[in-house]
Amino acid sequence: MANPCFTQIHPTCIPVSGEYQSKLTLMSESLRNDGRVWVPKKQDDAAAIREGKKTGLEIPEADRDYYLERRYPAFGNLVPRDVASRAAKTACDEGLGVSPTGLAVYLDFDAAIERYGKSRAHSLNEYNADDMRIRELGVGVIEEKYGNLFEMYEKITGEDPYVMPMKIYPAVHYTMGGLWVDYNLQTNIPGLFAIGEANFSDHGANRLGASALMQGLADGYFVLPYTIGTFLSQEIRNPKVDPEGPAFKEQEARSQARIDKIMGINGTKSAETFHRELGKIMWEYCGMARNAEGLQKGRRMIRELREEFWSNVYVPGRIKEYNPELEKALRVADFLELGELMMLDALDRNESCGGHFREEYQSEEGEALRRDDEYAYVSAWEWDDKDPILHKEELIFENVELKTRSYK
Amino acid sequence: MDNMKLKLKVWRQGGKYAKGQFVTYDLDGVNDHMSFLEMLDVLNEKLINLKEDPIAFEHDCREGICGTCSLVINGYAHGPMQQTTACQLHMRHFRDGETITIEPWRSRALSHREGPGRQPRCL
Repeated sequence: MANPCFTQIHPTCIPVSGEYQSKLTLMSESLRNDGRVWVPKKQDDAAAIREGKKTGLEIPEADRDYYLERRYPAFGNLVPRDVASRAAKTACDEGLGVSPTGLAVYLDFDAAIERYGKSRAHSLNEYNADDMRIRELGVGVIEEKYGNLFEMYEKITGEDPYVMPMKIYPAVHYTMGGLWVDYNLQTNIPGLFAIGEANFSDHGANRLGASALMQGLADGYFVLPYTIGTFLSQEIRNPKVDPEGPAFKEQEARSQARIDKIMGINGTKSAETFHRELGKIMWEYCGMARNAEGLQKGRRMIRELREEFWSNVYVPGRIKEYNPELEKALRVADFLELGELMMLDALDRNESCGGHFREEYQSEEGEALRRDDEYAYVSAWEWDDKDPILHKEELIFENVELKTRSYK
Repeated sequence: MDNMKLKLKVWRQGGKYAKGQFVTYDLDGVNDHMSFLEMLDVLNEKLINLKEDPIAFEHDCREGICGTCSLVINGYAHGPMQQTTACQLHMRHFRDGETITIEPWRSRALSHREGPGRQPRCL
C-alpha cells in the first residue's frame, strides 16, 4: 500500500442530515462554475438560520461573506478541491455554518440566474424584459445546464434549489494512494497487476476532476497491454497450476480459518457499528486538517477498536449461504488495518501536501506548507501487525522543477 | 418528520430452493429524510441486535447510478417514483402508518417460491 494518507475531500457534497446515513451524496463540481459560495458575515445570522428562524434569502447582500472570492480573488469559487474544502471548514469552525448541524455553507445560483437571464433576454431581443421575465429566462438556462443535479439535490433534501440556495459541505471523495505497483503496474505479488483507481501511481498527492477516468484509460490502454505481455511470455510454457496443490490448500485453509474465527466470536455489536465508529475516528483525526497529537490518538483508538472487533463482533446468519453481513464484517476487519495505516502515514508526513493538510505546517495565511527537502518521497508501507514498515521511494524530477501553487 | 411508524411486509426466503413467505415487521422512529435503503439498514441493525437474521438485499453505489438495489416496493420495481432507484427514494414519499410491501425482483437465481420447497434438479 502506498501513500495512504493522501485523501481528497470533495467540497460540494450534500451535508449530513442524520446518523443513519450510509453515505453523503456528491454533487458535480461543475456547480462551482456558476454557483457562489457564501456564509453569513454575522454569527447571529448563522445561528438564526440554524434554528430555522431565518433563511439564506433574508440575509442582505452586505451581510454575506463570499469567502472564496474574498480570499482567492484570482480563482474565486473555482479554487481546487482541497482549498475550497478547508475554507468551508474554517467558516463552519468560526460558527458561520448554515444547517442545523452547523456543518454547511451556501452555494448560491442567484447571481448566475440573473446574469444568464439578461444575456438570454438580449439574445431574444427582449430589451424591455422585467425582473421576473429575466429570472424566468435565467432559471431556464440553469435548468439546461444543471437540471439533473438540481433534481437530485431536491430528491435528497426535499428543498428546491431554484428558490433556496443549495447547502453543501465537504466530504471524503477519493484516495490518491492505493496498492503499490512498480513501473509496469505489477504489485509486490508477482503476476498480480493493479490498474486504475486501485493503484497509487498517477495522482501523487492530489487529483484533478475526472482524472480517475484518465488513469483507467492510460493504465488500461497504454501501459498494461505492453507490460502484462512481458510477464505472460515468461509464464506461457509453465504447466497448469493444480488447484489441489499445497499453495491452494494452504490459502483455502487460511481463508476458512478467518471466516470461522469471525463467525465464532458471537459478540454483541454488528459490523456496521464498528464501521461507523471507525469512520468517525478517521473523519475526526485524519480528515480535512490533521495534527500529530490527533493522529497518535486516532491510531490508539483504532487499535482499541480492532481489539474490540475481534472479541465482540456479532455476525448473524450462516457461512454457507448468501450472507452480506459476513462479507461486511470481513471488509471492516480490513478497513481497521487500512485506517491505522492512513493514520500512520499521515503522522510520518510532517508537511502539508495536496490532500494531506497538517495544521503544524501551514503558512501565516493558513495555506499548505510543503517540505520538499525532506518529504519528496512515495511512502510504500509493508503491513506488520505491530508496526508497519515504511519503504521510501525517492521522487526524482528530471524535466520539471517542483513549484508551490498559488491561487491568490 | 422524524418519527414515522411503518409496517413492512417483507418477502423472506432462505435460498433458491427454500419456501418463502411474507414476514411483517413494525418499525418506529423512521426519519423522512432517510432513503429507502437506509430505512432497511435501521431495521437490520434492530434485527441484528435481537440476533435475528437481517434482510439481505443488494446495493452498491447508493448514488442512483449503478441500479443494483433491486427491490420491488409496493409492486413497483425500485418503488413508485419514476426514474428513481430505491437508494434515491426517500421516506418522505410514504405516509406515517403506511404498510409497505417489499419483495425481491423475480429472477432465475432466486425464484419466488410460494409453494413447498423442492429439491434442486441436477443440471
